[in-house]
Amino acid sequence: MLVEPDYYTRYPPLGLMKLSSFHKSRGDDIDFVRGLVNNCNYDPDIIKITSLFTYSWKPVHRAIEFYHRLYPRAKIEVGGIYASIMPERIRLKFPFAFIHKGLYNPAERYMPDYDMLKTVKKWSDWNSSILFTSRGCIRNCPFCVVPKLEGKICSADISIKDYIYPGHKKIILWDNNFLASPRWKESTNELKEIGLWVDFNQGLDARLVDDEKARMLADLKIDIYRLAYDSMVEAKAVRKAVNLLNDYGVKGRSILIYCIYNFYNNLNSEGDSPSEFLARLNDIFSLNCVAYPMRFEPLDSLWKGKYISPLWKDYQLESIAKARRVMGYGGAFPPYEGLINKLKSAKNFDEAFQLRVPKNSIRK
Amino acid sequence: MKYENMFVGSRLMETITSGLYDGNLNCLREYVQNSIDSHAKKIEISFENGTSNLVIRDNGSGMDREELIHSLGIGVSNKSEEDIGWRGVGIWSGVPVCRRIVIITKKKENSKYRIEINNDLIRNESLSNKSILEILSNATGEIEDLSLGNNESYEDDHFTIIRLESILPTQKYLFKNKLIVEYLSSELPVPLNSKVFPYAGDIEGWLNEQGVQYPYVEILFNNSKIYRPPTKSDIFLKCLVKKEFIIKNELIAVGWFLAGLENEKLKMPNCGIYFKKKGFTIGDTNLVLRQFSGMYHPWQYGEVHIISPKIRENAARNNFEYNSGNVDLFLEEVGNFIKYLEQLNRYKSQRTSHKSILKIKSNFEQKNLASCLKDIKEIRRRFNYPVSFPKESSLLPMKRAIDEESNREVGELDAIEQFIIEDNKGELQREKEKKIILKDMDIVNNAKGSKIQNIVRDAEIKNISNERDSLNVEQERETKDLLDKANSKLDKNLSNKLGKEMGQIKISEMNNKNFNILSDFILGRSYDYLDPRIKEIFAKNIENTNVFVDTDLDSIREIFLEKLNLDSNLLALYNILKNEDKDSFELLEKASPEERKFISLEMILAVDLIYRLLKNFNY
Repeated sequence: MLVEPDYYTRYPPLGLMKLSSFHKSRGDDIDFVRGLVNNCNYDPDIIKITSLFTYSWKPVHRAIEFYHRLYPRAKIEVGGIYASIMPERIRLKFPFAFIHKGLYNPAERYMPDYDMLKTVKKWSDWNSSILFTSRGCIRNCPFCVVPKLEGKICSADISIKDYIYPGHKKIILWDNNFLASPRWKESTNELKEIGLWVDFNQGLDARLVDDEKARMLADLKIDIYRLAYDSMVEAKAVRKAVNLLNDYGVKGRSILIYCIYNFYNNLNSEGDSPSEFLARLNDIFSLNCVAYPMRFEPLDSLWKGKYISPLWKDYQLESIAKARRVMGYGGAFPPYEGLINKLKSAKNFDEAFQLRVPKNSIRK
Repeated sequence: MKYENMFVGSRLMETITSGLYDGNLNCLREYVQNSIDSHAKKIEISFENGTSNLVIRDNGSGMDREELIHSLGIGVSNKSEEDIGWRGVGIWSGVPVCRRIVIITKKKENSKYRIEINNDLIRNESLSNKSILEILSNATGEIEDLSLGNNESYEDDHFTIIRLESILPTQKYLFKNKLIVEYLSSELPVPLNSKVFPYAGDIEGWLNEQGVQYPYVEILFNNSKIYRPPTKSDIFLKCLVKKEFIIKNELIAVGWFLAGLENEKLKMPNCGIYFKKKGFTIGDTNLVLRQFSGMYHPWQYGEVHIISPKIRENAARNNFEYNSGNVDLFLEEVGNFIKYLEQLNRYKSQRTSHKSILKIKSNFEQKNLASCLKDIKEIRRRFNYPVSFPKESSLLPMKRAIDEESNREVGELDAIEQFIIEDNKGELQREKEKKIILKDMDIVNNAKGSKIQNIVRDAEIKNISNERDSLNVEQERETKDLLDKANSKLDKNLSNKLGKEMGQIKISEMNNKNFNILSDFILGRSYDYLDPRIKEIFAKNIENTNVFVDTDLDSIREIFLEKLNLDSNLLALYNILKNEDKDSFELLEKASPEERKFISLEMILAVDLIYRLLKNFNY
């Protein structure tokens, strides 16, 4: 039995899906559930529960407890990100559970079992094939967990075609740094040949976009080109990447640029600040691209939104969140003229993100 | 797993690298054979994860560790020749179609074992200089001892699961639901479906009596049961032919056949004659037909089940081993039988005409009585034509069935004919009279050498010659007037003549029937002197009611030019017709389909008129 706790997520549990294929290859019967479900008419031998971000630990704990009581004979295994980062926390509370840290290598090569999603309502209409053509990253950004969890880049010698489920409309690549993969060219050609929509979900490294890459990327069916602009150091690279993409016909509106904020590096006492963040937003708007603010969350945070960098104030973080809800679109800041002018003309961060109080709600 | 010499038979290279298993659905047959040999009663085949994996699960005896090792030793199968998959290559047949083959098997009172074969590695290394033993050792994993689940029984459970994992993208076009169902139903020993095919019980009982042994096995694909064709019965004549093929006093094979109701090629999968042995198909329908060198129309469905164990198929199962048993005599006999079937086709097509009867019925309903009677007459003529029935005793029941069907059809024709005569005496009479008049005109035409035409033409010529002095061919306007006049005269004359039979024809009264009579009259009779190519173009135009297309005018013009070696004068006339006779085109645009036909006809007449004018002017 494979269990996805009912935390919020936009993507199905890839790890469980691969485990499903792995187990089926060994002749096992699989049942997949999301949340707490009590409608099995059999006794599972093994229950595998996955987990996601550390701050969504609660549904995971609930699931462990629920299924342990329901099927006391079954062996319970917990894996996924939270379990890999904080195994002791689970072990203390649930001494009977087996914790699996990191990837389960024997299952890695299997195509995720999309069939299994059909039994869960949330995923029954899922129509994208997810895959990694590489793992790890060439960079060592201080705020990122990838180099810590996955290490240096290594590409898998796979054919993307083998991992496409018939009828799917889109291919989602979860490569952390696709363009740094030694096999990016073969993979891009294969994506082109397959002809489905492509989403480089984890973003493309602007520093690696050159003329050839921009041309080949612009040739794929992509609705959103995701880049990142995490520090002013990258200003030039981002500008160049956007210009190259523009040259090959990609509109600014379809380029989404992630912007981290609220990160502070204790080792060298450096981090982003409100004014630096505002400057990056203005840069993005000057390129006519969409900005997507991303609030830094420490790897082992148990409560989302609790961490505050020494360079930021609580109300400032709050004002970004509010602005994203009020002025943004789906959490992003598209280059609306009003928004651009407001940020440009503001003297400082506070003014830029100060929301106008609606006239009809002014109290007398 | 380490391969040693003793495990590997000589058929290895042939199996894996030759074209024998060059990636097709034949691997399914191999796996099903293995399942049947292990006494499976139920075989479930299904896709997994879209069409990524294909899983074949049987409830056969399963294998213990030794048997599993042995099953991987190519070409040294210890199965007896009585078994179907005796060549011992089965497990490897999936190599060309997928990335991995996984075998999971359990025998009673044995552990559950699993082994995995890495086909990519075999593919890659087969090009290297490595020895085949080395390649196989690398590609074959160790046998794993899987733990049993809470619901599995060490004592009782037995099964084998073959998993073809990650089917190659290049094979996906074959690994589709529809093609797999077609393959399974046509190749494997699956039962006939008595729900849609009432002869099923009769046939299976008879085959059994005759000593045809084939395993009863339930095969399911994606959870639905597979049956072999036919998939329906109402397309066949209600007569089952049973034939025994006896060579030198030995019953070699038995066959059964059905003839289609229509005199035309049956549609797949209900078409063709197949050789079967132990329920498995040998070759395809062409293998049977190849035994007969003449022309054969596939109007039958049938099966020829080989009983004699001496008649053997080749390893690829697409043909026989030609040195086995009395295979040559047997195939000759099959060829003779096909010849008789073709004779049967001829007999049937002279005696029955299912389609024509349907046509007559529908004509009758639409009150096209004249054509009804004509068709009835035609069929009667055909039915009375002498034709011999093949001298083959097993086909005699078919003669009775065809004759019965023939009598039934004749009965229907009689009924229709009588009904028409009784109920439509008046109308028939009128039609008859019309025919007589037309015939009379024909006689007159023949006798007097197209005198009617001459009258028409003389009138026109007279008319034209009156105005001849003022005629300046180069002045388009005048030419047009001339044309109009001549045209209207022609029209009037024509109407007058036809009016005798059918009253004055006006555009508004023009219906299909009138149009046909009119066009028939003009094109079929009076226009005999026209160039056949032009006639053909006219005929096309009449069929094509929507347009009187420019291209046709172009080709007429070309023929004119070629024939008359013509100059700009004709070109001028042609241009009037094509570009400046706007009224006609406007009329054509607004016209109803019937009117269009009439207008087209008018324009045809105009072209014809030009032709004749020019002829008279000695161009």
